[in-house]
Amino acid sequence: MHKVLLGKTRKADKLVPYLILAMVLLFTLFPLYWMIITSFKTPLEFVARDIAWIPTPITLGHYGEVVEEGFMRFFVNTIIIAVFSTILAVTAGALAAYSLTRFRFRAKFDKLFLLWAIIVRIIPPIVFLTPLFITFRELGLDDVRLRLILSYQVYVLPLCVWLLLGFFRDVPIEFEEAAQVDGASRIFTLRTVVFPLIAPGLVAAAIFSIITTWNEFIYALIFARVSADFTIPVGIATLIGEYEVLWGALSAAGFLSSLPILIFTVYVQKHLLRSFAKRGVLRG
Amino acid sequence: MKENYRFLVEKSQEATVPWHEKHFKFLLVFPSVMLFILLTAYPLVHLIYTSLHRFDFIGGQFHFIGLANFSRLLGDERFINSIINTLRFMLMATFSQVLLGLGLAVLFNSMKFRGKMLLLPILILPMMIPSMVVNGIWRIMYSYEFGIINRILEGIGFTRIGWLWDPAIAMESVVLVDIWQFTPFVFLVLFAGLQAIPEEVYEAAKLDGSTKLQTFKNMTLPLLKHHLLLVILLRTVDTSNLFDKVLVLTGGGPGFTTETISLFIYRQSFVFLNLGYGAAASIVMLLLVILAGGSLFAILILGARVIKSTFGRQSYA
Amino acid sequence: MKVKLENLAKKFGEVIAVDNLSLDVREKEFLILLGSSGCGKTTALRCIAGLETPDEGKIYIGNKLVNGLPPGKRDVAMVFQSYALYPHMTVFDNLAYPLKVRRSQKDEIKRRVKGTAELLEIENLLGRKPSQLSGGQAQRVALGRAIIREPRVFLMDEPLASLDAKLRAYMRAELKKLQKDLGVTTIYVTHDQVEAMTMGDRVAVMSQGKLMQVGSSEELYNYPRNLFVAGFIGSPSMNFIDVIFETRSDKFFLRGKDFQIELPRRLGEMALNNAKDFKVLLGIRPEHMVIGNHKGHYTEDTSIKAEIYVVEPLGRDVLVNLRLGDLTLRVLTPPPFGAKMGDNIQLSLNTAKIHMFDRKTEQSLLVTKQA
Repeated sequence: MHKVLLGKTRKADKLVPYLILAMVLLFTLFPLYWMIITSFKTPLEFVARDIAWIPTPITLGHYGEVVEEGFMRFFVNTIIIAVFSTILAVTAGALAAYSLTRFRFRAKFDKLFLLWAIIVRIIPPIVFLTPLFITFRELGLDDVRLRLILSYQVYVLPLCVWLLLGFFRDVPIEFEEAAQVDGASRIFTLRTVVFPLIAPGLVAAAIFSIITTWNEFIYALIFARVSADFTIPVGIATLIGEYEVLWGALSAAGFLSSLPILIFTVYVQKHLLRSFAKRGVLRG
Repeated sequence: MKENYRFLVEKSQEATVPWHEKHFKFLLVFPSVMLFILLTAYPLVHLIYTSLHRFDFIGGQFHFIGLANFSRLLGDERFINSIINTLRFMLMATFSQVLLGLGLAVLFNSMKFRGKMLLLPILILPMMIPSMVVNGIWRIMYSYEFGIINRILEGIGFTRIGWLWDPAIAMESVVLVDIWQFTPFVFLVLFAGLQAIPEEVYEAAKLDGSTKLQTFKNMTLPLLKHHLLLVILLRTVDTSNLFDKVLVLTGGGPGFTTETISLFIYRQSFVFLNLGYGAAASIVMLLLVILAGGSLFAILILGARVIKSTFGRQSYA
Repeated sequence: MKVKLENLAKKFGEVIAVDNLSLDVREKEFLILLGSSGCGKTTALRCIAGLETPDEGKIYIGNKLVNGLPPGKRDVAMVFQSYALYPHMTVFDNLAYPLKVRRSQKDEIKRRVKGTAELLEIENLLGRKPSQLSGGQAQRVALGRAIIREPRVFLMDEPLASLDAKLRAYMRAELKKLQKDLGVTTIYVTHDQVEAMTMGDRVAVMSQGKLMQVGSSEELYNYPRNLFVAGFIGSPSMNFIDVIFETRSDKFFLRGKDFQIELPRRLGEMALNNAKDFKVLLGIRPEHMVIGNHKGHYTEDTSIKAEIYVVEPLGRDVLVNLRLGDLTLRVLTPPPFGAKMGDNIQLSLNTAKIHMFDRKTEQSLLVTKQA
């Protein structure tokens, strides 16, 4: 009797995790679902008292609005900025991380460098905003895209250095020594032996970097003053007024700008997990 | 471990090696060092300079005023208020995200069903999409008149709620958005940490007859320590920067109930063009964050040690 | 190509890895650096390769001083213990890498990779990645990558350590033959004395960064210069007994607690020449003692009374542990061995095979003064 009862609770117990997971999934996915269907709704349906779970009729008008608002331009800007800041951060970060793992430095230069990278990661980005603005003006850097590519290094360079440090440490030094004995130059060794071996790390760093720069808002808000220079997040922000929201264009633009990242995510989740598992982001 | 770590040889001067080979290690760090100097160190010097001046935006001139900006800040209730708001947000958001993320990670790790790993990218979707899109979605859903949340509430017989209007809950509404967006991040890091714990640990615990709760306290938590530390630190640091959410969800309102330090600095510097005053506020924020980060780090590490010793004693009993 | 080390020294922080090491490696010689882990043998090898910079001392390859030369300019090839095969390249590309570095012609590379692969019988593996190779195959590829360059010197760091026992025995012979065929000077680091004794033309025994003795296997076994080499070479290792060295009426004796041994005149005179103290250490290998009374070298008054403690049959031999007062002695004796634990027996020493050492300096007393 007792046993049967126990068995029953066990069965119910087993269901509980699935119920919780289902609720989590619902909570996670609902806002995304709502954004997507809102982007296809007519204004009439949006204001209607009855909740329209599936829009009828479907309108593509909001996507037209998005184009009219100049989002094609924002897309191009964002892609250029994300790609170039990623290339810069991954290249500079990989070279520095390699040097720091493989060579001895005097006066604790290596430790100071890494500590500084952490401090930069901790400092709120808004702190750098005014002085960066002034610095760029002093240097005569007027191009908004260039300004953003450079200032995004504040976010992504420390991340790349720390992430790649873990990957380099995991590569046995014998490979490089073998190449050295064989007479390969430093650069040749780096190109033919080291970088191919840490390719997964480079990919992971690039992913983090692309996502971060694709989503960045505050620097873009300040540096891009005219709509020709806007990035997607800034473009989307202009659709959200203090009292009024261009809900149609907003959800359409939101859907469109999330799409590349979403596709990307599904493709790269393995890399993400692996690099997290390495605890490369920050070592306690 | 330090002793075992090997470095590459560097050749002595006698060898006839090209210049770039000899200074290879410096060449490699050069770009990063230059970027750091140009983009962080030099601007920080600028920041200190600016904070000691008043910016006259009509003439475009800086006037030296010493520490006046700082003394004014200390008496500025709006600034103090923004610090308190930021701390409230940091505490609420980090605490709930770590708790929920940990729970979800443990739950997900303990479940075994086919296609489990396919769910992973879905669970972490919110952290991948642009912040501004997240804000947009929630702004639409929070809408007093047309928002789906109030529609559902009405549908089941409640009255509408002014999610972003009501001073009593505006901050909590913003926290909820942050929970939706970043709990997946906490979950992902902790889940990766759990996956790194070998199965044998749990099997051994089972053989020793420890209960699920005991296993969690004695095995899982200590082994997950580094990941937990990392996630708490990162979330604390990132929530301290809260800006874009309050800018477009509440505008810092109602009143000043959701105005954060970042928003305060932004408004001083770029709306009212009080560059000097904004710079002073930036420096205060910088010090606060580094102080908070450092002490948090110390507390967490010490705390983890206490936890370990406490649990360690228990496991002997 | 000769290799010469002069007063080589290397420290890692406070730890002295190599201490004033001087060594001559002859043309075409197969020289083994033998020692337990941490004795500095690998550091010495890495200094020769140029992978460590020595703190002091000179390294010559041929007649050329190579201190300060980068590893790639020393024309040495190295086989690493981990093989260090590039995991992202095929076997072909791994073999071709040293040639590619030297910008060799494509046809030339192909020809030489093929030749090397044939020599090592790995032609069928050329398309594989290192992860698809067995331990023995990977080992051959690593060798191939060293051979293909036709270097002046081979440096090998425990290349057989990660193979299983059977394959290791086979590769010992292979490697030795290969070295003789190629005629390239080889410096080979190992901690395995069987490898050292069977493969090397000469063996250099190292301990705590210092060179203890260089010589052929027979020399090391028969004439160890010091206590360390005596104890390190040979398995099971040599027995040591505290004794007093005496001369009486033109005869030489070693007197222990309960026994006395007469030394052959030749050994006695040599020891007398070298001894600074009458308290000395007697060394005798387990295989140079027999249980029971024997004639020939084993004379009547060499017999010692002892008690059997543990008997370990090893198959071909029986290792008997004896108690002699508070001493334990190991004796190798042919099976069958009838006695049991606790039995009292008589032990005879082959006096011609006795070694004697100074207790303080630990140097052998049985060397002629010229060296």
